[in-house]
Amino acid sequence: MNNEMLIQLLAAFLFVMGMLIVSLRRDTIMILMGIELMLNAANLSMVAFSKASHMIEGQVQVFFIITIAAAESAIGLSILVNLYRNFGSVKTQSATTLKG
Amino acid sequence: MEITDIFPLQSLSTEEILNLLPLFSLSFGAIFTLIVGTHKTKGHGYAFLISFVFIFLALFQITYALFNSDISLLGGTLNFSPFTKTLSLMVTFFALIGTVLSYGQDKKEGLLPELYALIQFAAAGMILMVSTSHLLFMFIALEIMSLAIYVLVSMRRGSRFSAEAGLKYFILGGLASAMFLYGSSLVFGALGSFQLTALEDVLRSNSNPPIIFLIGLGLIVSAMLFKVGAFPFHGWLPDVYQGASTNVTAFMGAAVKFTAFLAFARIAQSLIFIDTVESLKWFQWFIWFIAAASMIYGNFVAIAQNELKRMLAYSTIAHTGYLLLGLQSMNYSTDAGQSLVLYLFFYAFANLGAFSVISLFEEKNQKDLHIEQIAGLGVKHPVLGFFMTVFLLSMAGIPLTSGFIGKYGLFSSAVAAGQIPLVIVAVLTSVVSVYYYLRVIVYLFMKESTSDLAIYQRMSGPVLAAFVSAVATLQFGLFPRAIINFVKLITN
Repeated sequence: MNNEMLIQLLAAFLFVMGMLIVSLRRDTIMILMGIELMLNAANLSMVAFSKASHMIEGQVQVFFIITIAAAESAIGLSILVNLYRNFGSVKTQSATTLKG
Repeated sequence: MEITDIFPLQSLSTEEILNLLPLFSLSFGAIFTLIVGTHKTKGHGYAFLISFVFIFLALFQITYALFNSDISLLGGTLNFSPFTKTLSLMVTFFALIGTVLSYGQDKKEGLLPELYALIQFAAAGMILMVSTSHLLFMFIALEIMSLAIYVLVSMRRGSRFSAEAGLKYFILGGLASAMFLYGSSLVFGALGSFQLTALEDVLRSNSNPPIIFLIGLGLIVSAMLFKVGAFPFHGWLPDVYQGASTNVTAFMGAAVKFTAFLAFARIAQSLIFIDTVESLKWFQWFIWFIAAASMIYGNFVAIAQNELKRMLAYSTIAHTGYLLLGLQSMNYSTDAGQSLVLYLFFYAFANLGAFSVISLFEEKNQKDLHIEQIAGLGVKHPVLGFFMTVFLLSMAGIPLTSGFIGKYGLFSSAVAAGQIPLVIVAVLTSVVSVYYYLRVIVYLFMKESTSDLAIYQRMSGPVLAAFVSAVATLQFGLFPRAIINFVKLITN
């Protein structure tokens, strides 16, 4: 097994971990971290692929994605503050007013 | 590879600037709107005025350059052809109606003046999204659009529904974005490109793509199905439609759906509907199944709803099913792409109109309009009742409204493409859908009003938006020839 394969496996592992965090944890901050983890796993795999195939395109894109991830977490945290002000908690099980 | 190969430093030609101008107008307009919105007393009015002017300017600029020759920027990443420019025109027009619709609604619901800026940012993202054929650029455009919409959804800050809806949309939207990104990374790793056109060429020459490609494609398809709100990925949709302020719901239901679906169609056309590749057949069956499931689920659950926004949310899932039927037939019938665009366009007007009428009868921080609350409302407000009837009939696909033209075109091209079983499901479920649309009309005009009749909120914006949408719905329903010919012209 070569290094490229190992890095791809690591990226896949991180992605699955992030997905599990998002779907299993009930704490909104952990969920935000899970989303970040998934985005970074994608970054890692993209860098590894573009290194392996000698194309710089993927590596350049990673910079854009890091910027977007920052914007996304800023918005996520502000939504979280809004949630806390309305429900007094950041756990997802407290916010269950919409059903049907 | 040299850095100058990736970023060839050259100045834009006049022609290229002309095509980019609407994007400049929208983004600079948004920044101006943010600045004037800080005015202490008249922030809302100024913000509305500035954003209206800039969106109008963008509309004018797109129309001006509409039939100029095709331009592609950044090595084929951004394509400006008459077709993509028409789609941008439609999206910008929805943004204009969304802006008009928010006027009045903003003060009632206590929304901040930044609302108008966010609509423009979202519109800029949508224009980028319909013009691109590069997977990562699509991701960036998707995020520009979605980040603005997340904030718009949770903008009713005092309302618990809104906070909850914003959170749900954000978490599931973030999940979908990350899946899209990782999926496109895997596709890149497998086939060596992000360009959809290049990927299509590779797939046509290689009938046995690696398994990584299929996993990546699966992630991308799931993410896009989430964004358009198809059946197993619809969980967020009713809650977000209900929790968001109604003007935002209208804009979302029209413009986001339009853009996301067209982007999905673009991806599906290049990556899924390639007959030489055997393993892609599974994806075609998957979309077939999702189309049928969305139609059945959306329509049957909508019957049980007693709240208007929630009912329209479930009906939008059913409409996604019809659109997926159109997507299925795109490969086999040349008209299917045109009827898809027309259907989306007509549906957007019905959606904008219906939600603007609903917003006229909602009190501050009200979650939804119960069907009992609108009993007898059409008799008291005949004009608005008539508008609502037109929109609902258009969604149901009754003749004389544009929805009929859209549905007829979609189903007939699907028949031409040989999708008979799915068309039968679609026709039967749209018969079911007539029940719950007509139920609202019956309540509007034929029931005695109860004590908790909804009170008319005096707002000029939503009335104007409803009027424009009603005129468009009737105009395209009665005289569809012009728009059909126009769409035929730009697709050829």
